[in-house]
Amino acid sequence: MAANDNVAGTVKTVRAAKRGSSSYERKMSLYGFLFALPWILGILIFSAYPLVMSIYYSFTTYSILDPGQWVGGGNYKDLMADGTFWISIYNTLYYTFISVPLNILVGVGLALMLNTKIRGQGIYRTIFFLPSLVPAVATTIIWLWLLNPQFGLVNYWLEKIGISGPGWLGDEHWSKPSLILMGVWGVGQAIVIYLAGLQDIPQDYYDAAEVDGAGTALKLRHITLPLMTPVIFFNLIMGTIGAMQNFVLPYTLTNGTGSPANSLTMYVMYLYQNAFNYLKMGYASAMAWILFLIVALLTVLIFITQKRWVHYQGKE
Amino acid sequence: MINRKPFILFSTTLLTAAVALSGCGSGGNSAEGGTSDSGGSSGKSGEQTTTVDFWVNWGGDFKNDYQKYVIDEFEKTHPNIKVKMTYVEGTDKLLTSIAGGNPPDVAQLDRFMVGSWAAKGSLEDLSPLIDRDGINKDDYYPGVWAEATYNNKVYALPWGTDARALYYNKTLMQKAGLDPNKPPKTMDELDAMSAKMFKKAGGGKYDEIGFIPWMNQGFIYTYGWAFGGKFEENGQLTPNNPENVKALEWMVSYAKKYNIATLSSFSNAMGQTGINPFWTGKVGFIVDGNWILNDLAKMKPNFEWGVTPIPSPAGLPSTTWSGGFSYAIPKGAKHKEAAWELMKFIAGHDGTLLWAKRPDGTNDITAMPKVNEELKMDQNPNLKVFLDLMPTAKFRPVTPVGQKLWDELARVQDLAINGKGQPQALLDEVKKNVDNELAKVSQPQS
Repeated sequence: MAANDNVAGTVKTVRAAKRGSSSYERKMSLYGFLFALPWILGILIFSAYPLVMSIYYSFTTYSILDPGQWVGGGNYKDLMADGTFWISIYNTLYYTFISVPLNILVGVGLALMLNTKIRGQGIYRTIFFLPSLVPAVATTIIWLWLLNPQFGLVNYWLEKIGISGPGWLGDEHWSKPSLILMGVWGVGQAIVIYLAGLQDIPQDYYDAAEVDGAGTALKLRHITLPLMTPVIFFNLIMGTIGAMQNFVLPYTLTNGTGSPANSLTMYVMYLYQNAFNYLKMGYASAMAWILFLIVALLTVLIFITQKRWVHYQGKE
Repeated sequence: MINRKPFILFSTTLLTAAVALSGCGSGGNSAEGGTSDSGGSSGKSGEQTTTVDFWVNWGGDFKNDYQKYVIDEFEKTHPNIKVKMTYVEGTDKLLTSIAGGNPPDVAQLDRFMVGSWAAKGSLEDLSPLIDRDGINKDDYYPGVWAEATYNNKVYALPWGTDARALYYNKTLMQKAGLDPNKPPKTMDELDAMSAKMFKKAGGGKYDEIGFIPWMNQGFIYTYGWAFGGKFEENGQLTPNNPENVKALEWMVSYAKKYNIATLSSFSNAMGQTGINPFWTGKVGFIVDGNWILNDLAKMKPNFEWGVTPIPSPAGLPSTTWSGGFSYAIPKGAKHKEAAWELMKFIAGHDGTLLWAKRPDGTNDITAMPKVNEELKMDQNPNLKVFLDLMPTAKFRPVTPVGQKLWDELARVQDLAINGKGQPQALLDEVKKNVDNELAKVSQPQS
């Protein structure tokens, strides 16, 4: 294709320009740069600049409306003494550590079921994918009704089997589990990735295992799961990052209050409150960087464990 | 080989597009800022028409109704000013527009926020204009005017207000063997009467309740004042005033006596229906605002009810508290004079009256007592309960940390009723937190 030629040409000319060659090649390298310019500008203006500035702001009392003063590590020191900050960390980690593994368990389980060759397979797949197409706010409202302590469908069913349902989102002991439950509802996106992973496993392995007399359980344990680990690994990382930044659900559910009894005060929600309700953008910037460090740390930890349990085909 | 011509053509187009696009962007912005359209319709007469950029954050039909009942009239009487009204949700955009130096000329702002925004220097000081044009603060309720004032300077013109009182369900009172024409006057009476009205259904859940202090407009602010407490004294914030502590302890007593989980289950279930719990007929007493009287036409309750001032401990006067909105000129507004003309109209006598006269506004209280008299609001016996409380209505402290104080109080109230901590300790914590914030804000800034 001509386009590929152009790219290759540009790359070549860039190299050539470095060696200080003809004006033609220099011109070509300029074109290459011009082509990339919109993207470069976008990154610089909308990502790099705010990123760098937020580091700076995290050391000031910047309030959006006034530039504020340099306070050094003041914001970070204040955060360490801020009770709500620690509660939000606890809540967010609680949510992440339970919801991410649970989502993987449910996601892989459902993907395995949806991968069996039965009639209407496409319909089932669609059904499980549909919830992830529903906007988060709409999901929240639906769940508010399902989990309504007195008129909700969930408690109605529980009552049918003789259980008096809990207060769900209104009960501080049940509010986080409710939130986790609502998160599982959106597992459809991950299922698609798991399904792709399952389809990728060569049939030969199963055939060979069958010849050796392996049953379903053995095949699952020794072929399917090990070969799925790269996909699970990917979802584990993305899921952790996503869960740590959970915002829309708890914010919509509680109108930003985190009630009952602060049990739904999530980290990013508190960050938002500081930035836009209390006009403490500097403080919020400091929070953002601490969150970044926590997420980076978790990601690194997951990467370190990778060697022990992630199997890549063609390796080893 | 590479064909150079299309290559150059393409990149030139791209560059031109980029320049054109960015040019468009800044052009659009200045248009949004409301540049005077001197080239407009009035161009030939030589007279300049100014377009005032006016942001409102009330949703629903407000924008259209306000245009119809108030703004159209303003434009008729002020032919040289055009008003461009825009609905902007929340205050985030207003905040960033001020920070970006491109704000609207007039903004509708919760009066509660005026103090903290003024402290950040983001609102125009209106005092010189008020003095110049002889705006009389006595035309407004004292609390309402005080809320628009920060450090003895006025930063907004008040518009609209409200009050809170106790609604009682006469039918449920009768069922409980109480005299429906004698609503509770003291906290003790309220406690005793409501105790007779709690009724459980299957599964240990409440089917009917007497009273939940924190339902709807019941809040630590409401009861702190009812108990004779103060949230500000001699320039100090006093969330942990002894009376406020008593009020919170009283709220907690309901959580303990009737079991917080069961109460929350009931109030959550009700809250979610979107229908005011009181109009469901399952609630004996509830603290709520005058605005719920507007629901009557739609709800048509099939039970008898009444409204009376919020009970107070024996011997203390009845209290209420008020909030409401205001109009302000953000710092950096481009058409201050025209903006002020608009504000004087909409937040003044004429605009206030025009808006209050609209068909579905019959239960709104305006910020101007004179307008309320003109509309004979006190002939509506339900509304009169609220109106009579207005002259002494309390208002939340005007402070740079108003929002923080509100959120902190809501937070500890929630913790207290859920049994997480003692009222005294929790309110002390609020005091410490807001004082810390205040100390940071008050640091001299260049």
